[in-house]
Amino acid sequence: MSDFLLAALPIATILFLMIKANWGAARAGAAAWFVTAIIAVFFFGAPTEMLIIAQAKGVMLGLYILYIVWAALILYFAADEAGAIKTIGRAIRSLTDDRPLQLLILGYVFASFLQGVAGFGVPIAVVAPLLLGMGFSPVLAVAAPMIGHSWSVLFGNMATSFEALIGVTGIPGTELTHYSAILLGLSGFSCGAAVLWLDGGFRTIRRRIVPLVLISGVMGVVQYCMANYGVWTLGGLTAGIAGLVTSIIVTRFWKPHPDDVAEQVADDHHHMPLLEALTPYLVFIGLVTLATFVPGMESILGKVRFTLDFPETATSLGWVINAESAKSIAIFGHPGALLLYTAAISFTFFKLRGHYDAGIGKRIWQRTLKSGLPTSIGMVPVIGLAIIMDHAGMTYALAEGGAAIFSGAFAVAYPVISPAIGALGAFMTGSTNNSNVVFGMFQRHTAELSGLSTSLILAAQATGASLGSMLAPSKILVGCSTVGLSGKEGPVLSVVLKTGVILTALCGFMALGIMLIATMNGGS
Amino acid sequence: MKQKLFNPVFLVLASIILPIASFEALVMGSIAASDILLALFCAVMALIIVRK
Repeated sequence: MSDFLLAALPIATILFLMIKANWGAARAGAAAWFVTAIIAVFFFGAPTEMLIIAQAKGVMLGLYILYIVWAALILYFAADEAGAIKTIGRAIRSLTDDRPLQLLILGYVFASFLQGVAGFGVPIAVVAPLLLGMGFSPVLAVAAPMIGHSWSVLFGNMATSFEALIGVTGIPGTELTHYSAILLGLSGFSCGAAVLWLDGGFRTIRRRIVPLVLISGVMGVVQYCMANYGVWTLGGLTAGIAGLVTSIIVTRFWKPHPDDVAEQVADDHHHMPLLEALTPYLVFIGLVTLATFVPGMESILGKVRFTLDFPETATSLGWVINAESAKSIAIFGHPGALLLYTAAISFTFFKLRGHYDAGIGKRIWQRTLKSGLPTSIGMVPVIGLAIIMDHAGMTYALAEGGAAIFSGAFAVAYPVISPAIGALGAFMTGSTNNSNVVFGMFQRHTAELSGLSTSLILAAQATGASLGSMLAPSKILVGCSTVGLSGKEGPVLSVVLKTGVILTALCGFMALGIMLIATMNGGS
Repeated sequence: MKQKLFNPVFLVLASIILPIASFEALVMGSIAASDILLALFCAVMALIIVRK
């Protein structure tokens, strides 16, 4: 139990400093880094060598994410300076006058679609400034896409985190897709409802229940079908496309409630056709499609890679971390590189079309620096502490402590705690993929020991890890940097933390319900 | 000097370069150098905490 409490101390530190003391993520992360390092060395037996290895891995992962952050910022400011963001905002406003529905389409559907094509924080980096430009508050502009995209993480971005779960547990994907897609589909509805709830509470959900059910239903069913037909790599992408098409159809028939009509924003002198404004995002989708589906393209772009090989390391208590390579960065094929190509093409296009004033290059760079630097300072300590916790066995101690409560007579309630463990892993490691790698085998063993359905428990782990990605401090840093909230991430964390805990608990009860129904039907 | 230490570009570059350099020193077998570089990284973390 003392291990559990000690392992929880870094999380408590970062949450307290960010939410109560109102520190920025960088300061809170650095303070929690010291707490983590001290506990890892003095109570979990981590040698200095392990700290060095874990921190170097943290830097490699940080570089992987920062490549996307900086490229997304350059692309956003290039589009914003040309007036493209305002045009897109106007187009969504013209699609429907219903303000909460606008939020739902951008913060939930469009963010899920972007998760399908890119992932790694791109949905938040792209959607948050769009929502801000439409008049939503900065905190809501970041929180909505963070919550809205989370259900789509497992099968989004070519289902890399689902593949990781298959790889680490050794269970065929076909055995995991059924329950995973059901839990994710139901959680998708909850995420959409949560986005609406943020805007105006339960009344807003009640008034838009029809569009919400239609859109989330179509996305959930499409994802279920794709996953169970064996093409789970396209599950998130196709669900996102289906969601966008359904949204356009729904808005044709939907009349906004008089209380929720969006305010008319004064027109400005920038007039740009919508197709022209969408150029950066269309180019980006095109480049991602080319890089993913054209045979040979991926290998050409992935030829130059930056990685480090890390040796095996162990604590004095016997917790061993095997030798492994860092997440390699394909200099020319990384999602950040694709964003940079897009920025260069879009910049040239807008320049040729005469949308920029003099000194545009300097202005874009200055805005990028202003937003990117605070985010980058925070990234290294936040990711570093998560990896030190993982390497010292602290993250495992946390999960074990949580699972111990549900042992013995309470084993039947384990499906409730299973998604929470997945979410905790995603919160601590900043990635659904890492959560599945860290806790996949642990969840499988616990399910087998408790006599529960392994596929259901692993589906609950994967869904929890997917939902938990909304709590990843690195993603909060990304979102805040794009709406001018750098250094003031506390309020955003507070909102997504409350929502994330509720959504993860709901997912746990859904898993429990599925288990009880399956048991009553005589299945496992 | 104080301005340079709290410069965000310096903090970002130092927090990225020092752990990698420390790891490389460790791999090369230079334990003292890797420990010194780790200590410098700790100092950078302290600067981030102090910086408002």
